[in-house]
Amino acid sequence: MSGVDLIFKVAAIGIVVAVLNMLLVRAGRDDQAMMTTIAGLVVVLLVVIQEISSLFDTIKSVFGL
Amino acid sequence: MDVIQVIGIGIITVFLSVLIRQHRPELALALPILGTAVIFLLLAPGLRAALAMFEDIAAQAGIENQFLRLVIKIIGIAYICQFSAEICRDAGESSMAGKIELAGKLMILTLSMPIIYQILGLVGAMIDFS
Repeated sequence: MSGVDLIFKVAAIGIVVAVLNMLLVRAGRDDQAMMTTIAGLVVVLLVVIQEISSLFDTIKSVFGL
Repeated sequence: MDVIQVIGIGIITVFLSVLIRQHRPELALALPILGTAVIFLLLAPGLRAALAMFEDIAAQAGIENQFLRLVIKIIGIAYICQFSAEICRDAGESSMAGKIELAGKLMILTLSMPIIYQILGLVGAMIDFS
């Protein structure tokens, strides 16, 4: 997957999580809203960690660290 | 056209990050990290070519390859330290940013120690000669 798609993906996850959070809080389900937030965070972290890992590998090979 | 691509990625990232920040600040933090990684991965081939050119020029000028490799390594350390310190600072954790920068400076000092010793030895030899 190309890089810009990843950025859009993370932004979409952020917006969806924010909307879900608002809906669930409005419906009085605060605990599930919290769960949604954490799930969104975990998914985003998985994406980001993969990208950071490839970034660090590239830096290592380019600069010979 | 690569420059326009990089600018586009940067502006889109900032825009989306600002959009999300009011609702989910922790997810808004992930976007600049991703953007930085994407832009660097885009630039990596060019950087590799530039460094190869420097090594080539240094080899022709008769500079020892070991020194240039050290300089390149130090640039790499400085780059990743700055990258992660900026991320911390964006998240409002400037104390952690300071610690990362300190660690980077210390690593660079440790790496350059042999060369400092070599220079001091050279100076000592020159003083002995005169």
